[in-house]
Amino acid sequence: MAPIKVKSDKNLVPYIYILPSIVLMIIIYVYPLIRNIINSLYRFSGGKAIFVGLGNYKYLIFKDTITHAAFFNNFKILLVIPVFLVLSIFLAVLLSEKIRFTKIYQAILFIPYVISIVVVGIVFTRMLRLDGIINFLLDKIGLDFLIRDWLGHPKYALFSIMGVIVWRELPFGILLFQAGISNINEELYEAARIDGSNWWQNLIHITVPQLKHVISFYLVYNFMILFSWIFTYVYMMTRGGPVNSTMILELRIFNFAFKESVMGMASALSILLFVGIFIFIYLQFRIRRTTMEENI
Amino acid sequence: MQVILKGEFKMKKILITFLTIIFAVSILFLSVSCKGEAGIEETAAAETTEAAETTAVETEASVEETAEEDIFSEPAELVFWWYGEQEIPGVTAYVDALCAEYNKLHPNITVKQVHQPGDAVVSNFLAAAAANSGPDIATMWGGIYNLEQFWAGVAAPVSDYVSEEEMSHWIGKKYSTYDGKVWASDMFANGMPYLYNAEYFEQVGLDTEKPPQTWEELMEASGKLKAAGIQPMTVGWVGGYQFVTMAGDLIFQYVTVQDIKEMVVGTKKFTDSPGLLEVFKKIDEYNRAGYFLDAGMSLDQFGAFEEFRKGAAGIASSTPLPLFLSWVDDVGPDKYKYIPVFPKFADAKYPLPGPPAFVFSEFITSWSPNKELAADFLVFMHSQKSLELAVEILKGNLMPVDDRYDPGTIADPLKREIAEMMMESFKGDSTHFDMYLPYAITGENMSVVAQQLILGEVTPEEAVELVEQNAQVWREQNPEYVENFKKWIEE
Repeated sequence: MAPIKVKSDKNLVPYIYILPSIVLMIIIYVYPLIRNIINSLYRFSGGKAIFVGLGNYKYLIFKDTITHAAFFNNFKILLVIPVFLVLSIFLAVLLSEKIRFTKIYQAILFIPYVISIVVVGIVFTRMLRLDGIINFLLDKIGLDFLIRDWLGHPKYALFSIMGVIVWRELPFGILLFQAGISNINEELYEAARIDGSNWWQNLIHITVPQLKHVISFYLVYNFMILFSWIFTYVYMMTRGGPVNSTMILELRIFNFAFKESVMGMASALSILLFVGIFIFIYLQFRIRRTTMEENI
Repeated sequence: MQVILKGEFKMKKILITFLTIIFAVSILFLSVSCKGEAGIEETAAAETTEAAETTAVETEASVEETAEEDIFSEPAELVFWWYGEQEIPGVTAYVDALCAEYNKLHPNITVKQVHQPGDAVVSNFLAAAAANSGPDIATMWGGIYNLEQFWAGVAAPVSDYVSEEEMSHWIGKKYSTYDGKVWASDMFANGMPYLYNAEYFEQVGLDTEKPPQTWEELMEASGKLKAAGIQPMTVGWVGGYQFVTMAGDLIFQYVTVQDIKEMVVGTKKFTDSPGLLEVFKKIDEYNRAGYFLDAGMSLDQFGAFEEFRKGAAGIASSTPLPLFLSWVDDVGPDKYKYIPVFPKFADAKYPLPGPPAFVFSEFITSWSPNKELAADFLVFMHSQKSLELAVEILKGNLMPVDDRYDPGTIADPLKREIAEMMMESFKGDSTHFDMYLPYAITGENMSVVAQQLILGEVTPEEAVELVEQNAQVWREQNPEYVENFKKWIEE
């Protein structure tokens, strides 16, 4: 079959081949996005759609205290990312040491990741209650001064959820870094050993620098993925309470849309969240790219 | 380096071209879909009126056609979304039997029933409504939950398809009447009484047959339980729903349903009436005495009831009646009893006739292609056969709100007594607080403020102020909603 000839010097054939996927992408991603932008300019009420311009955005940015609380909580939740990073590198290094029963440890550490978030939420809600097993154990080991209503007090609820997130999501990082570590040239460690380097020095001066691409990917990945599953944790464990202390933007959007039936407001907030995440990820990519170019 | 930059430039050009194509196609999509949704997009009252007129014309036509055509002659499927298994154990069996009986009566018609989890009833329905697909018959709660759907134009008026005579037996229809039409069939009533553990009451020297009748007696009983090392009362503050049910028991001793409705739209303020302030004062008093279950702040309504079942407390705050009754079926009526009417306050203005009731109601969706069939199924739900099934399968645990239902047919004396009281309570307008308040005022506002009160962050006076402030912001943001609500009040 003769190649399709077009007037332009560019070959458009490959683009025709990928056209179906582009159309699919438009339907799945672009159409809802634009639809959402349009919806965010309306107030839907009593079967009517009233154009309010940027009114929804104005309300969310300047007036809605619950959204403000949710915004700051989303930021606080980002604190889990450095925790993920440090812990997963540390545990991955430990698991990569040639010790006995490594496979068993690996399997045990990976268990949380295969448990559904819903199940994790239900189980931890019971465990973290005032009369839950965690407080019971604290009492038994003489740490009764630490007994708290972990999910029932605004001071601790968000941090408790973050703890659960770390417990459930950490294995992925461990696995990723283990794979990264296995690719590091053994000769680097041997040379370091000859120079008298200890375990910590190996970790800081060889392992971590050698993992920088994995670290970079892991940071971006976590940032992108974090906000997609945080909703399930909060919904299952606290539903945003007590006193909105665990309210997050995703739950606020859900409440606007499906509890208060104010779809315009839900759309506006989802657009704000989208823009926020987009800017953040864009900046991360820029920094990553600049660093890579500098290294070259 | 130069080559790389050129390549980048080329890539950017291609990317921009693609994005432009994507944008153009999206706009095309939008314009097509917007045409389809013109009824919503192109705004306002004129459209609604037009839609209503169209519906009326269509209805007249359909009624005439129905008279001529047999709607049961062709095979058809009705999709029925219902909910309740969590609150009404065993209701699945009732719905199964109901659908099977209907199929026996009309072999060409199949009813496909889909159970919805309690906390997803509204969200799932709104998602279905956005797509104009899903159930022919949807289930929700009476009052504001239903009204929001009617206002959004996603329900068809039941009264266009069902005779006046038939509807005259539906004693719950007042909660689904709007704009001169009945929009739903209010089928079952549910009460939320307080329960108590008779063994604990006996242990601390309280009369097991005579639960507290006044607020002072409740405080005294709670004090005795506490002194004996028993937590007096379970309440689950998570999600806020139990606070709302509790507030309903308290507030209707000071204000009327009409007062509440006016507070929603702002013609009266929450701060003007003693009602809400008294609710917060009483809750604060009880809380400061340490009578609520300590773990309540991390429990929801069902979690709190579970704690009561495990023996964690002497009294359970507002609990769905069917849940209590089906539990009594298992453990017998002696150990756990119920408080028929919430203890009276010394300064109460209005007596409560019984535990406030709320209704489950079914409505026909505006997109259903089988509206007459759906209406016929709703009528069947009120038929003698259905009422018999309710007694037989649900064992009197759930009360149909139909004046043809005779609570006297329930064999179990406790259930009969409750059903009779509920019927009176319902006729006497002792309904649930939640039926009149939009979620923005209950879930996002009052419940959160109540949590602040429990944590000692605000005083009762500050709590009421906060509720009113938040309500005012909501009113300003939702003028159309407020207008619809006002119309409801006027009616």
